[in-house]
Amino acid sequence: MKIENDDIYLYILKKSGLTNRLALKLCKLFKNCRAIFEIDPDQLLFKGFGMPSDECPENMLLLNFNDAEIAAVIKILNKARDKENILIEEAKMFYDEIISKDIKWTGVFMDDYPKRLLDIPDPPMILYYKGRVPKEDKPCVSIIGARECSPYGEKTATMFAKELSISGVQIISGLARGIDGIAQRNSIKAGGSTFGVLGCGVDVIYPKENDDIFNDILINGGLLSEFEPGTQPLRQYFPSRNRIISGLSDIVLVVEARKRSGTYITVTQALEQGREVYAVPGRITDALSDGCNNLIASGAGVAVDPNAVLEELREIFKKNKINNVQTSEFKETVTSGNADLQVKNTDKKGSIGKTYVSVKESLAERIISALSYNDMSLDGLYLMFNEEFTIEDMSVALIDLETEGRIKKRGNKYFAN
Amino acid sequence: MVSYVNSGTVFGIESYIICVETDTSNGLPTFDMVGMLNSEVREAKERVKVSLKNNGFSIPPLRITVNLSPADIRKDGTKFDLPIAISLLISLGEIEQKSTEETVFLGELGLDGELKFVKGVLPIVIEAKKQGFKRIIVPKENSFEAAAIEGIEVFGLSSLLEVVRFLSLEENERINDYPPVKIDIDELFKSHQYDYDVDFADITGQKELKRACVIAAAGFHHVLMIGPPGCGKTMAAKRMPTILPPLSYEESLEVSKIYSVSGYIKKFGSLMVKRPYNSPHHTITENALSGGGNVPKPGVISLSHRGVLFLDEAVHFDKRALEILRQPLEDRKIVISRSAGTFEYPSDFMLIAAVNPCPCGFYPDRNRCRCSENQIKNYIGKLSGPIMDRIDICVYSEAIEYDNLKNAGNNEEDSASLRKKIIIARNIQEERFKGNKIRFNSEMTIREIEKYCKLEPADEVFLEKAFRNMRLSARAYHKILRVARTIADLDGKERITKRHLAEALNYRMGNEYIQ
Repeated sequence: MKIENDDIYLYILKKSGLTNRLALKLCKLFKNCRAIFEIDPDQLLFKGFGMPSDECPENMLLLNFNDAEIAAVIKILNKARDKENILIEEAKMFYDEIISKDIKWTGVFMDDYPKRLLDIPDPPMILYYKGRVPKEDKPCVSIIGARECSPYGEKTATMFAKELSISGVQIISGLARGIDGIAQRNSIKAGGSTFGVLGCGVDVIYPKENDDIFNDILINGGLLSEFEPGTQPLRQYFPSRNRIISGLSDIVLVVEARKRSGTYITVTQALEQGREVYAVPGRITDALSDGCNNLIASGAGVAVDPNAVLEELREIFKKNKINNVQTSEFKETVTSGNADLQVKNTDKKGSIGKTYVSVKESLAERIISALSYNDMSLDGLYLMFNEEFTIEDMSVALIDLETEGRIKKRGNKYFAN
Repeated sequence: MVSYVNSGTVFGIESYIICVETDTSNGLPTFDMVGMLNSEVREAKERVKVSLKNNGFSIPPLRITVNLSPADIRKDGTKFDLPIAISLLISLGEIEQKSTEETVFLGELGLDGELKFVKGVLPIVIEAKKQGFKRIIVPKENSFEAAAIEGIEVFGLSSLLEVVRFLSLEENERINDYPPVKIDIDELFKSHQYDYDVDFADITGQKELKRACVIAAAGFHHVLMIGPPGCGKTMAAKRMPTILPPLSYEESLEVSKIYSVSGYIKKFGSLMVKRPYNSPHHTITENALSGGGNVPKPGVISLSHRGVLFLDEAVHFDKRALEILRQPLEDRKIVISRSAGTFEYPSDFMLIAAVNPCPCGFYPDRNRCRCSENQIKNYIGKLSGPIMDRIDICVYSEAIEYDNLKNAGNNEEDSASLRKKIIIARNIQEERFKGNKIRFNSEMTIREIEKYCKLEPADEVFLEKAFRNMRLSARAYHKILRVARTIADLDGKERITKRHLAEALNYRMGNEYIQ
């Protein structure tokens, strides 16, 4: 990557101490960082001296700064101009270093800056990334949810991530423990492209449980962060990371969330940014599905299957009048995914029917059908079958099923896969 | 004139015969005692003088010297009161020296001459018998303890005067008035071995936990119980001794020696015929656990020898106290070095550790538990690797629901019938390990596992598949074979089959708990 003049002034602007909000306003107006430093202070002062608005240069009006803000901008810009040469050297060193680490960047007014982020109230001035940024012409869905998820959450996150990825949807998430990581790992497995937005520098691996994803994700996706490379993950960074996750996506899909949780906060931000929110319903008695069910109750889309999400995406894209060729391509993948799903559904129905028909089932089959309703412990199953089998027989059957990968054990509870 | 009377003392858990020598000679009237005595023994002087006076013996103003030989062994306790008094009486010519030959004396004296209960009698009796003494005179309250050893006559007397009278009689005259104390060891074992007021039938449901207890009892495996508060972990641990195979006479002697030294054999008590059960509070110090003091007394781990050591809320124990368990778990004994010397106490116990599944106690019930995976890992991770390595069986239990509690029939299997199965498995192991040092499957080393846990090729494949699927470690492999061996023994099968392996796999440690 070549260091452009703009990049250097972007760095200076960032380091100048101007608040993100003021800097963004200036950037949006001038579309060029260099230009900001070339503003004539007098121009900014027009309004400050109570000039009538019609005498003020037009673009200055757009800024809508108040007096205090104008004073701050002038002071900071002057200060930066004084040290311009030192700052330029600093910027060059900074960019050289991150280039050596294979890290790329894009500024808010640059061509490759994700356009979706420009809609949100406070897009990051600069976005560091590894790999690439999401493509504009392809739909983006973020899959988010609880860190400590249940096997149900794991299952649904996997299903949505796989189906959506196969249909060509880009999956955005935070690479956190739990739902985030599961969704992204499975998206990679399905050959999809997925993007991790981090609350730390893009060269910092956190959480370390997901370190396998950090390499694989670069093949067909990327790692993104607004924080300078080398920044360590801190608690206070995550909410601002979350606004980028929702900002980058067309639809926010919540897989599992408690009522008061970080995920819930992200959803609130997504709604403020005007994003569609879909939630995977769960049982009303599960605390982990509480958040999702509540979202649905207050109007979120019901993600009963990946199709529902794909349908909504098509709507959004139609509205946005996106390039015809791509829409059709996208449509195709959607429909083919659709067909796949239908086949699967009938499959499932068939097997359920069978379990009802068969009179004498093996212990293993009975365990599977019991577990498909509820997760249970060995003792629970024992009681459920009215002590028909011995504990020894049941544990043998359970281990068999577990070895075959049909059930899973967490603590003392068994879950159907 | 110098008189000699035999007594004994305990140092650590070793016992020694001590000769009390008394000399009276002319000179300034003094009463000196020498022979590396600690303060309880030095105080004997006053008790002896007063009790003699109160029983009608007058001590003339002579220079009296008492020596306890060998003089290089530390002596403590109050058991020397009686031998010192007798020795002095011989020296004063009140009793004949000849009458105390081949006799060991133990006992504390009251000021009125009453003989009182003392600690550590059993090891001394064993030593006295070994050295060929014919009889031992002990306080009445200690007589059943001493009588547990056959081949030496035990006389339980209640006062100094009685002892004097006893010694004045000829041997054939004594029998009528003072018959030697005898106890029926077999009867003692039969009637008291399983005399518990708790029973496994008290536990409703919890089949998995119970089954794990049976396997653990049969192979003497250490157990980790994981479950929410109030699910019956403590209840099950408490009932473990009721299903353990019976203590043999030899084992009982080992245990009783430790209890005798620590003073835990009750008045009129005899051998410990039940397997010990200790459940120390989690605030216990390392010294209390291992054994502490200048001359260390046996700690809780030694008091659990051949029995159960139950650590409730194991992760809340002091880290250093838990680390103490390493050596005993490995070597089945503990060696404590102090300035007074190095002491070795046996400590071959079954460890039962009970823990909550996570800091809040409700994992995997995600409706109630919000602990992160790291928190869960770190919680149980407080039990360090070397301790976890020794634990073969890991069992989960869950709180029982009210309906099941209410509807429970009375058909729960009781301890007696569980014990029957366990004893069969125990006998198989005894046969298998004949001539070996080990006694239980849990003690098998890798070499023995290879020898006694052979698998059919098909079962080998099954195990391999399970290992891959459950992502088990190599460490888990030997644990599973050991447990499978015990399950096969309970089943009465010579070969370990898939069935046994599968059940053993069920009692593995969950991956979420392995660091």
